[in-house]
Amino acid sequence: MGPEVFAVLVWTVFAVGWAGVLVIAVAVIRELALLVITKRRAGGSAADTVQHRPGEEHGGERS
Amino acid sequence: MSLLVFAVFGALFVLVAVVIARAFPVGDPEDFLVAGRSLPFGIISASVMISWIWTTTLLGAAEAGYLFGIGGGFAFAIGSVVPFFVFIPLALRLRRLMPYGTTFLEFVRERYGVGLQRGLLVLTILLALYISGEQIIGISYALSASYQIPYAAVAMISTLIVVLYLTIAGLRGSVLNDVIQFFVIAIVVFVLLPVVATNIGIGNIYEGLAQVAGNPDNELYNPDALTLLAPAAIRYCLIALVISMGFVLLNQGYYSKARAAISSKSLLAAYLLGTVIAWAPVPILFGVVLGGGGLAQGMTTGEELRVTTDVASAVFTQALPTGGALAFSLMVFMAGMTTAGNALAGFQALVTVDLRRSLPAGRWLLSSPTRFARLSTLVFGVVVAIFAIVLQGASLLYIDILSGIIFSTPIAALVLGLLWRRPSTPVAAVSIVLGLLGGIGTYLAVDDPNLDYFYGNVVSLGLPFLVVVVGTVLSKRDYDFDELKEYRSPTAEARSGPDPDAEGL
Repeated sequence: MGPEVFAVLVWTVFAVGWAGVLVIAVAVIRELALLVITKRRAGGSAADTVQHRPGEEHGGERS
Repeated sequence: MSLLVFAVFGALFVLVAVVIARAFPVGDPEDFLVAGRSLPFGIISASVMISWIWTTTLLGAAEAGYLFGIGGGFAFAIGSVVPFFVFIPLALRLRRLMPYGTTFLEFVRERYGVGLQRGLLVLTILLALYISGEQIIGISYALSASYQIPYAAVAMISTLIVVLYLTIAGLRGSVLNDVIQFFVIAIVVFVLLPVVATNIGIGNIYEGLAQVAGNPDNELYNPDALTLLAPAAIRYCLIALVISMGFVLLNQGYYSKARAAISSKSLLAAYLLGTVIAWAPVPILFGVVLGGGGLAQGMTTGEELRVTTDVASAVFTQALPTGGALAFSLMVFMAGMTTAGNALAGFQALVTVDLRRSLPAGRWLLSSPTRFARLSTLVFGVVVAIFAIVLQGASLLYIDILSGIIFSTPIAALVLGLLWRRPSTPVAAVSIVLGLLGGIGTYLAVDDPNLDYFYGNVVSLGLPFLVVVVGTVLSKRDYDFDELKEYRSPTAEARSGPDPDAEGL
C-alpha cells in the first residue's frame, strides 16, 4: 500500500463517519423539535381545556 | 476545572431524566421499559451507535492498531459489526412473530419452555453485570489516573449517576441521555480526531508504519504493520466476532431499543445507520490514527506507555496538548455511561418481565411492575459498583476471553430456534451444555497461549450450531410460530389494538 492509497483510505473512512453522524444528528434535531412542538401544543390545548371551558372566558358560545 | 466539567455532565444527565419523567409521566410499564414503543429513527440510531461504543472500543481498537498494524482497527470493526447483521433480522422477526413481546427471553420461554428461559435469565443477568461493570471499571481507571481521585469513589459516583437516570425515567430517560452523549462523542471523534490526524500528519503516520514494517532493527518491528489482511489481525477479527456475538445477541438492551422503535422500518434504518455506517469508522480510525500513530512515533511500553492500552490517550493528548486530555477523558466517561445504561435498561426489562413472573405473586414489591423495576435496578447498581471495585487491578482481557466462551454458547439455540421450526428443547439445552464444555475444554487443552483462547471461543460458538443441526435432523418436532402472534407480554397486557407494525409501515 502506497502513501497516497493510505491517505485516501483514512479520509474515506472519516467521510463515511461524517456522513453517518450528520444524518443521525439532523434526524435527532428534527425529531426533538417535533417532540417539543407536539408536547407544547398538547400541553397548551390541555391547559385551555382545563382553564377555559367552552362558553366561559374565551367566549366558546360566540363560535 | 476538569472535575467541574464531569460534575456538570453528571448532574445534567440526572436533570434530563427528571425533566423527561415530568414531561412523559410513566403511565404503565410499557412506557418505562420500551418508551411506549414510540421512539423515532434518529433517536434510536444515536442511542444504539453510542451504546455500542464501549470504553474498550476506544482503547482496545487503538491498542489493536498498535499491536497488529492498520489491520487491527479494521479487524476490531468488522468483528464487532457482523453480529448486528445477525441481530437485525432476528429483531425484525421477533417483532413480526411476537408484536406484543418485550424481551427475547419471552420467546425462549414460549419456544423452549420455562427451564431454558430461567437458565438463560441467569446468564443474561450475569452478562448485564459484566458489561456494566466493565464500563465502570474503564471509567474509574481513566478518571482516577487522570485526576487523582480514588478509584472506588469514581466507581460509586458513576454507577450512581447511570442508575439514577434509569430509575427515574426508564428507557426513555436513558435514550435521551444517550442523545446528549452522542453529540459530545461525535464532536471528539469526528471533529477533534481529524485535527489529531492532521497534527501528526497522515504522511508521517504512513512513513512511521513503513519503518516499523521494513526495518527488523526497529524495536516495534512488525512486517504486517501496513497489511490489511495480516494473519494476526484476521485471528483477532474472529475473536472479536465471537465475543461480540454474545454481547449483542444476549443483551436485552438492544432488544428493548428494537421494541421501542416506532416501526420495523425505523428499526432497520436506525440499526444499519447506527451500528454499521456511523459506528464502524470509530474503531477503524482509532486503530489507524491513534494505534498506527503510536507505532509510527515509536512509543514503547515502559517509556511513553505504561501498558499498550495507553496508546490511544497518549497519542491523542500529545497531538492535542490544549484540552486533549479533558476531551479524551470525557469521551471515555460517556462511552462507559451509555454502554452501562444500555445494559442496565436491558436488565430492567428482564427482571420486570421474566424474573417477576417467576416469583410468588401478591407481595407489595411485586404488585407494581415499575416499582419492581426501579428497586431491582437500585440493588443491581450496588452490585455493579461492588463488582467494579473488587475487580480493580484484575485482567479484563482474561475475563473477556472467558466471557466469550460462556456467552456465545446459547446463540445457536436462539438463532436457529427463531428461524427454523424443528429444533427441540432437549437439542437446544444439549447444544448449550456441549458448547460450554467444548469451549472450556479446548481452551484448557490447547498448549499455545496465543491460540488457546482463539480455539476455545470458536468451539463455544460453532459447536452448538453443529449440535442443533445434527440433533434437529434426527428429531420430529415441528413448532408452530403462529402460536406466538397472540402472545402478550405481562407488561403489555393493558395495551390493546392491532399489531404495532401494521400501522407503522
